[in-house]
Amino acid sequence: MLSKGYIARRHVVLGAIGLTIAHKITGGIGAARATPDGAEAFVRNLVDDAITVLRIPTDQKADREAGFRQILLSYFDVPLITRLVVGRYWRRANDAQKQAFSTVFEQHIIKVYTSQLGVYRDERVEVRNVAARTDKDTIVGTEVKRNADPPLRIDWLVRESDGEYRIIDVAAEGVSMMTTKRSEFSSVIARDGMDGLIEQLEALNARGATEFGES
Amino acid sequence: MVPKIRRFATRVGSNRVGIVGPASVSRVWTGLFDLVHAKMMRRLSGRAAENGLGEGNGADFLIGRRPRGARWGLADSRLAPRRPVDVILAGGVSFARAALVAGALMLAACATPPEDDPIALAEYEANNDPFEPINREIFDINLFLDRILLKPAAQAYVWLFPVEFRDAIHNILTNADEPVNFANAVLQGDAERAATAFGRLAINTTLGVGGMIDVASDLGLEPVEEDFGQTLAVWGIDSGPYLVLPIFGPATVRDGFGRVGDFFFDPLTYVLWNTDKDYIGPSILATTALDLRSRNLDTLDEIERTSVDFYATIRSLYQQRREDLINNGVTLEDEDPFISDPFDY
Repeated sequence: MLSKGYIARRHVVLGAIGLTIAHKITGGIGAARATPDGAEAFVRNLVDDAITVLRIPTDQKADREAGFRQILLSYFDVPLITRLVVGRYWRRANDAQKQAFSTVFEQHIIKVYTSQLGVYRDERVEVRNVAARTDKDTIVGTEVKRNADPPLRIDWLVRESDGEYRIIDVAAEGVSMMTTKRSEFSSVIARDGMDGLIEQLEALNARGATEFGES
Repeated sequence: MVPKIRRFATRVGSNRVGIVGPASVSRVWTGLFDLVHAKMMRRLSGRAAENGLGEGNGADFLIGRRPRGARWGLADSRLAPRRPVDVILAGGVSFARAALVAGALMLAACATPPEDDPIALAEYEANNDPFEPINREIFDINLFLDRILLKPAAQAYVWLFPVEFRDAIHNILTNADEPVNFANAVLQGDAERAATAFGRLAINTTLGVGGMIDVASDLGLEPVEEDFGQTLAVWGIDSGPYLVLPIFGPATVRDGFGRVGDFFFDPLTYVLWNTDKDYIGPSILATTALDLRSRNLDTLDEIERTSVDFYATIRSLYQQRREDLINNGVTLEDEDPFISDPFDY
């Protein structure tokens, strides 16, 4: 079980992150129209905040996880991602299934990032190029310069709506998170149905919780 | 045909001292081999039975039940392999046999397209994986082999050697691959990448002390990765269905041919053909495998731990990564990593 001190410390970290995010989003964009520059600034802010979370040591899993949740909810269009990741099967799901899936998917994606992103080792993130994809979508290409290994290419798909930017997909070295997860999920849905997918994600999340929680 | 098989069998059964050690060590390898072989054959005969390829017909031969009186086959204890090299060779024979079964199964158990369900059909076509049932079988066998052999070996490699040493080995292997990068960049008509590969080879072989240090990257010549599979794609050849190759893992038909092509582009191949030190080739192969696996220990674990369908995840990762390599990572303007994202639901 988590101690009280642990929870309190966690809240301090999250509060700080939450504040900076709120400040940047409201201060950074305002009522301006979507521009490639705006999308670029948005991604730069995201990267700064992500580094703050990545600085949290990996053994403080709960803090990291909460930090990633903050980032996910502030910078990503979670409802849209949830819909798109189920792909063509979304229309076939009933409301209860959609609701249940949204809950487990959010938990799942936080687990994925918490476990797949390591600890911050002074990598530098540089914006490589920015290109408008449609009038609403911009691709911001960044490069993570690492000390020993070759640079890692990360592309962000940023969508603007009502003067706000939101990320809808990330691709590392050409591998899109959305495409990968959708392919995985649709394979499970084809075999076990939507309920099967929800069940299996729940089981996976629960396994993660016991692994992270007690240590 | 029989003399040929016998000659090979004799070679496999030869009792020379292995790379790893004398007879006592070899016995461990032999035991391991039996374990893998038994498991593999059990799985395959199970599959075969499911598909009506039961006992009492030609399938016996394919799945390794030795017909009465026949003298071939590695199941014969007299021919049990004794060196690590033999294990690999014998594995090759098993897999060749497995491939024959696979061929039979592909005909019998090719995934049937879900014609009556438009959504499932669209996904089926997007996956480009008509051999999914047999691919999954081979994927499982590969995972099993990884768990008992490659992964522990890679963990031992990381534990035994400092990171500086492992990096040097990695750099040497990468450097030895530059001729392949160069040849394929030329075949793709990509002068810039050909020059990069050539420059990297020249600089790292000399200044980088035989490739141990990647000086070229510090000078701004970042690695380029070109292989014959990519060349074929640039030439406009279709990828063909997704395949999981025994041991080698994910591929497509095109990439499978690509591997064969690269074998011939590699100067090492010709060096090895002209030497009688026949342990060098397998040693390089083993080191390459150790290097690759040791660099992906955590990543693969994490991906497996966060997947509800590990097979489907790896398939998607492979397909996207290959596509990206073919496009040389040019993601903006004409190539778009988000091209397959759905936006219309």
